[in-house]
This record gives sequence, C-alpha cells and structure tokens, in this order.
Amino acid sequence: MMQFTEIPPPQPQTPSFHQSPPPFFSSLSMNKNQVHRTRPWPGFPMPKSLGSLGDANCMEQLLVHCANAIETNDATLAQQILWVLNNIAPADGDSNQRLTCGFLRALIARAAKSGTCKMLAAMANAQNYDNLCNETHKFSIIELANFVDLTPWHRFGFTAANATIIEAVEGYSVVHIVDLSTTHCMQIPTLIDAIANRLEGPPLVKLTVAGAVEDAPPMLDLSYEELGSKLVSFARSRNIHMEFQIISSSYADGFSSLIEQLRMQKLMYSGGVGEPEALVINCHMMLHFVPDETVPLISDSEANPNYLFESSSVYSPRSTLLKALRCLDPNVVIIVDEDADFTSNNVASRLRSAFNYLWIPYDTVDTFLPRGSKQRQWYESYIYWKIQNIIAQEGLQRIERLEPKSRWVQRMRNADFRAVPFGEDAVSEVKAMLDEHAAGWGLKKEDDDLVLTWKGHNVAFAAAWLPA
Amino acid sequence: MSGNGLFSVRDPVQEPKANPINKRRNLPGTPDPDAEVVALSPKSLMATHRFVCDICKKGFQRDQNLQLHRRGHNLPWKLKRRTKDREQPRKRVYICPETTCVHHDPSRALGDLTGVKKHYSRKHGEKKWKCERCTKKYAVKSDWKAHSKICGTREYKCDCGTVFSRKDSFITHRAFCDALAEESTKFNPSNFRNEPTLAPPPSAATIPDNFRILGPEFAIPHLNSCGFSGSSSSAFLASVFGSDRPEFVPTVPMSIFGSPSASFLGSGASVLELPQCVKEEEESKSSISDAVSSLYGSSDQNHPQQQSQGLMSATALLQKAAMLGATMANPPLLNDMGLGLMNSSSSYFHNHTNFCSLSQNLNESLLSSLSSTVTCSPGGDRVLVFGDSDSSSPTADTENTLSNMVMQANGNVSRPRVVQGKLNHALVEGNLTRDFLGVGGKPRTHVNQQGLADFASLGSLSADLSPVQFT
Repeated sequence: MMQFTEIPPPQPQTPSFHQSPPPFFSSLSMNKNQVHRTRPWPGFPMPKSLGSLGDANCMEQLLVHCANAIETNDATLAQQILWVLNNIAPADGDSNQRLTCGFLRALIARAAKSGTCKMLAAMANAQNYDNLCNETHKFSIIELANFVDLTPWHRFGFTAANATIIEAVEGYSVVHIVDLSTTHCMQIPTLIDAIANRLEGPPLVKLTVAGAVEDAPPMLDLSYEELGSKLVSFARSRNIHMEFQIISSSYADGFSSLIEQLRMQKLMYSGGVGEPEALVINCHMMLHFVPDETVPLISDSEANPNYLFESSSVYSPRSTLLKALRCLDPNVVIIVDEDADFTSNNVASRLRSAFNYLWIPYDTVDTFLPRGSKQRQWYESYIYWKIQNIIAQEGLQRIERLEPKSRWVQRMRNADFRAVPFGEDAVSEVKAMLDEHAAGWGLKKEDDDLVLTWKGHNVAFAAAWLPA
Repeated sequence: MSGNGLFSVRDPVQEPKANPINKRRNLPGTPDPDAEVVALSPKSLMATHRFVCDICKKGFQRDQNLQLHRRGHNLPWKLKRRTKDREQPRKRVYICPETTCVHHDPSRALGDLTGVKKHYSRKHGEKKWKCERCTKKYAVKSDWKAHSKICGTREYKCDCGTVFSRKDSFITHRAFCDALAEESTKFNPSNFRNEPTLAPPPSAATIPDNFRILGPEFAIPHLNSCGFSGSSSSAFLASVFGSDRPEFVPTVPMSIFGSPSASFLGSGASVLELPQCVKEEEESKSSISDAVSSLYGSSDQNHPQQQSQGLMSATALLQKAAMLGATMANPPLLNDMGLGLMNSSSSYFHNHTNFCSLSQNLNESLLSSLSSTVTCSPGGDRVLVFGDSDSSSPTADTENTLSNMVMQANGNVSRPRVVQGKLNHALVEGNLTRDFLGVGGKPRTHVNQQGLADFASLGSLSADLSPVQFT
C-alpha cells in the first residue's frame, strides 16, 4: 500500500491537501525510485515489517513520528508523514482510519500553530473550514438527552453515582446536590426519579450547578435557567420540591467562586434552625478540566502571588479544589471520569496515550450508529474536539487533562477522603444497564471502584468518597 | 495438588492445542480437577457434524443419529460396539481456543461442550443475529431468540410519541420533553406554542401566563374590587365548570376563601387549579392528578380537605379568577437573567410578616449588590445566591431579578411550570414584572407594604394583557 513507488505521487484525496507541494514529495518519490526499498528517512517503518499500512500500529507510529517532527520543527519530515497519513487514513474509512484522520487533522492544526511552515498553515486553514461546520453543533435538550444515552459512556457514571447518592442521603430531609458535570444535568432526571421512589417521604432537593461550560462540547442551546426550570417542573411532577441554583464559576480557577458560595451557604444554613442537610458533590467528567500541576503557571494576577515559582510548584487548582471540597464536609463525593493519562507535557507520549484510548469511542460508534447519521457526525466531532484539544492545544487552552484512576485515588486520599465501595444495588443496576447495550461493554470492580470497560479496555471509572 | 495432568485432543483434522494443566487450586465454579481437559481448535469446536461414521465418513450432529446410521452398514456384531463404551466416560471439560480468553486456561475450563461453543461464539465470534427492533446483535441464535421475546415488550412511551426500550433514557427524555412542559402549561394557559395536540381554549389566553400566587392576604380583601374583561374570563371559568373533573373546581375557591389557617402553599396551590382545569380536556386525567397531588404534596392540605369545603358561587369564582389573573406577573423574565434561582415550592413562608421582612431584606440586598449573598429571615431557610452575571444589562436584570426574587419570596408555589422553553415574548416585553415592584425606571425603589398592596389592588384583566400599572 505504500505509495512511494512512482513519480509523480498519486493525487491526494482530500481538498485540504490540494496545495501539497510537489517539490517536497517528489524528492521522496525520487528517493524511492533511485534507491528502492530504502527508508525515506531514518526511523521510517518499512512496510514489510508492518504488513499493510492500514494497520493501527503503523498509523500510530506514523503519528508519533509526525508529532516528533513537528516538535523538532522538521517541516519537511512532518509534511511527508502528513501526506502519507492523509492517503492511508481517509475521513470516511473504517474506525482506525477515522481515528487516525482525527489525529492527523489535530497534528496539522498543531503544526500550523508552531508557525514554522506556512504550507502547513495553509493546509490547516483549508481544513478548518470543514471543522467549523462539525464542531459547533449545539444540542437541543432532547437531542442531548438522546445523545448521552447512546452508549453507557455517561450512563455508567450516572447509574453508579445515583445509586450511591440515594444510599448516602438516606434519612435526610434536605438534600443538596452539587452537580459538576459536562453533561448539563442529564444525570438529574433519573436521580430525581430514584429519590421520588424512596420509601420515606421525598426530601427537599437543592441542586447547584456551576454555570454552563462554554468552550467544550457537548454544547447546549438552552440556557441553564431554562434547563433548571424544566428540572424543577419535572421534580414537581414527581412530588419533589426542588430548588435550582446556578453559581457562576469555572473550572479554570478550580471552581473557587462555587466553593466560596457553598461555604457561605453552609455557614448560614447551619446557623439557622433548618434540618440537617446532606451535601452531595457529584463530579462527572468535569474535574479533568481543572488545571493541575502540569499546567504552566501563569504570572498574571490570577496566580497566587505567593507561588511564583515554576510550574512544578505546588500551585494546583485541582488539589486545591479537592481540599476545599473536603472542607465543606460533604456526605459523599462521587467522581466519575475517563480512565486515561493525557497529562504528559510531551506531545508524542500524549499522542500515544490518546491514540490508545480514543480508538474506543470510534469502535463503539460502529455498534450503534450507522454511517452518515447526524448523530454519528456529532459524536465523532465531539471526539475530534477532544483530540484537537489534547494534541493541538497547550497551556490553559488544553483542558483535557485526564488522569488515570490511580492518580485520582491518590489525590483524594491526599485530600483526606476515604474510598467507600459501591453497594450491591449499585453494581447490579449498572450491570443491568450494561446488559441493555451492546455486548462489548463490561464492568469490573477494582478495589473500591467500578470501571467501565469496552472489550476489556478501561473506559471510565466511578469512585465514591467519604470524608476520612 | 489438583488435576491429573492429562488432556486429550479430540479431532484429528486440526492441529491440537496443547496446554499443561495448571497445578494450582481451581477457582470456584471451575471444573472438576479429575476431569479430562479437551482442547479443540476453533474449527473443530464449531464443527456442526461432529460425529463421523468411520465407514463412510458421513457426519452427524448427534451421536444417536450416528449410531442409527451405523446400523445400516450391517457391521459384524463385534464392530458394532464402539470402543468408547468400555471405558468409563470421563468427565470432559473444554477450554476456549482463543488464547487471550480467560477460559483458555485449563483451570477455567468450561464443563459443557455446548456451553463452550456458545461462549466462543458470544465472546469471540461474529454477531450474525440481529434484533429487529433494537440495535442489539447476537452471535448465538438462542440468545437472539431469547432477546427477541422480551425486546419491545417492555416499552416506555413518552407523551410526545417517542418510544424507549430503556427506563433511564425514557425518564431523562421525559424530564426535558416538551410534552411534559405542555402538561405544565396547564398553569400557563397563555404560554402556548404551536402544539397541534393542544388546542387552548381562547378564553385561557386572557389569563396572563406564569401565574404567581401572592397568597390569600392579597386576594381576599380585594376580591370584589377587580374588574375583568367579562366575557373571556367567564368563558374560561365556564369551561372550568364544564370540565370533566368537577371535583377540582370547588377546591379552587375553597382554598382561597378557606379557613385562615390554610397555609400559603395550600391556597396558592389550589389557585393554580383554575387554569389547570382548562387544560383537562386536552390532557390526560392521570397526569393532572399527579400534578395536582404534587402541588398539594408539600402542604398539609390534600384533596379530601379541599373538597370538604363548600361551593362558591359562579360570580365569586369569576371575580376571583380575574383578580388572580391580574395579580400574576411574568416571571419568565428569569430566562434572560444570567443569574438564576428557582424553586418549585417553599413551605418556608408561613406568615405574612415573614414575607414582608424578607422582601425588604431581599430588596435592599439585591439593590445594593447583585453579587451579594442573601439569607432569608429566620424561619425561612432558603438562600438566594447570585453569581456574577455579565450576560445582560445591569438595569434590566436588576429589575427582573428583583421582581423575580420577590416573586419567589412571595409565592409559595413559585411560578409553577413557569419558565418554558419558549416564552410569550409579548409578556416579556410587557413590563409586567418591572412595574410590579415599581422597579422599572425607578431602580432604587424599595419594595414596601404600600407597593404590595397596590399590586394586589390591581384588577384589570384585559385581553391584551396590558401592563399592570402601579401608582
């Protein structure tokens, strides 16, 4: 499948490569003609050793080489590899090809940013035109409800969390849920339903959210006020009084304003005559947006002036947030997040991690969405957004800083929490839910946590914590 | 030490996969240590005609069939007996041929040949059987059959017509679906969208949407001072009387004029019954009773209590409805706010004084700083919190916020089904709320008793929803 055998090189398939410069690639092909079967450049994987170029391993290696080339400002090499990749990974191919295509586009975007190669910038611009149509789909609330339930990706976390919440707030007549979730409260209806079904009378439910995340998908075309009112109506229809409150706060500073407000509310609440309130902190895929130690320290007024040393310093909004949560003395903290490691500062290793994780959503898409369906487009553009963020962005813009479960566990322990295992009910509910989806999804219990798996690979984890 | 270490290869056709038996203890549920472990290749495992006649090489799916066939060969008596019969059949366990599989290990072998065949298909095989109704696919035909039996039998249907096979997706959808919202527009009769299923009675449109119950303190004294555009409202109430659920009707006035001990919530809630009744013809009865019961859910009062009180005269009802309609303000302005606080009900406010002091508290603090945190007076344990909002102009939002907040404080049943996805924009622009507090144009006016009394004294219920004016 190698294309390097003849002159001129075959025409690239996508318009974005229209301007691919003949001089760069003809040198490559000339090379091949003159010295047949030698490597075009050192380290280039020989086709013989890798079988066909359609192999995922090969694509991964090419991508890694490309990333390294971009980092070392080797524009020629980068372009060559990009050209190869573009030919072997069409955007409408099989799941591996589409995955690679996503990474390819992200690499181009990254290369364009580094500014060393104008040609790449031209390619990137040509591509961005495509991207713009894809990335900015705003879901209506019903579309989002449907979207979130296409796979157990989110529903796993919802189910496990809800079961645990119900257990943790048993006996309380006031329940305060702080929902930090990227899914715009999609977990809440089933939680309300579960609360409504509990044997003792329905509690007063207070739901606090931090305001919509504006710059990460999935985007909602409804304001949070409207969203809240729908939830309140729904709760009422289930005979539950619900209060909805939006506290404008962002992950960028570790939700500091949210924490402040919660702290003040707690002080005032406990000062009053009211009943004891169960505080539940539900974190669903949101915590990994909070900057951690790998984010380079910013020197403006946002940073604490006492911490002016380098990025390896202790300033970590992520740790601060967890400690602050502990200070709120919650009844339970549930963390659901994706189980992967995207925190490396080295692009190539990040790419490797991402490639070996994000193949999963592409693979699952095949089981439930036909090609050409709008939902598939949305889904894949969502994944592409992630890839883009991981590969092409840096600094504060790179918000997909996933950490593996082990590190989150460590963080929570450092913040003075102790893990609590999921009950039998939670496990059986999750299992039943997974049974209703395609057969590749599985559940495993690791220590006290639950892990969602696809074909045996870890996808997401759910962990519950109590103050230690 | 378990296991005798013996294994045999069954099918001569394919190459055997040899595995040493693991010497450690078997895990629970795994095979008898004395069993013979059989390792079959995928091809031989999935072979359909396993029993082969040694004479003519014809294959059969079952041993009995093969025996029957052999009889036809007229074999000498000696050869009729199969050597297999002599030895005691050893228990056979089978390992999965897939090397990466957990059951490839002899200590996790499966005890039944059919079982291992099914396991292999399920885990490592191609899913050829597809469910017609849903997207699930199966590799084993019997799994597919079993699923088809139950698929679609448990179905959840939303009022909007969408069908769900899973309960959780159904619940999530229903929470946000417009169909549910439509139910709730029973309380907001004018908040109609182009819903073909809902033909709002024209009279209902005259009642401003998003009823806000101020409570009987305001309602009672001014009952007779309200005017209204008679025909439309009377038509509205006529439809109430004509509704199929007459028992709702008496509950409405009862709670308003009911005993003074009636709680805020109870009376407030019952007032909302009015517009709800209008919708009863269009909506299913069960959902109405659900909604109604939820209204009463938080209060001590319930249906029986309500219904125990006597009937009001039609005229009084009409007047009350008109007055109520006039006093309803337009909370959906909340939607425009970057700040939000909404609650579905509060049983916090049990008396008038609380309300007044609270509203004053609220007003002062709200006016002074949008980003301050406010606590309500003791007895009410609700906290209003605002974050920083940069989404709209300060004055507009202040007014809306204030009015909404005070409305919140006022209304025990806060704006039931108030905020819909699509609002009646005319009302939004109609400045109902702004003028209520006297806030519009006078941003620093304090809410006071006078203002509230004025509000309550408003009476005009006009068909075109002209803004309510304060002196």
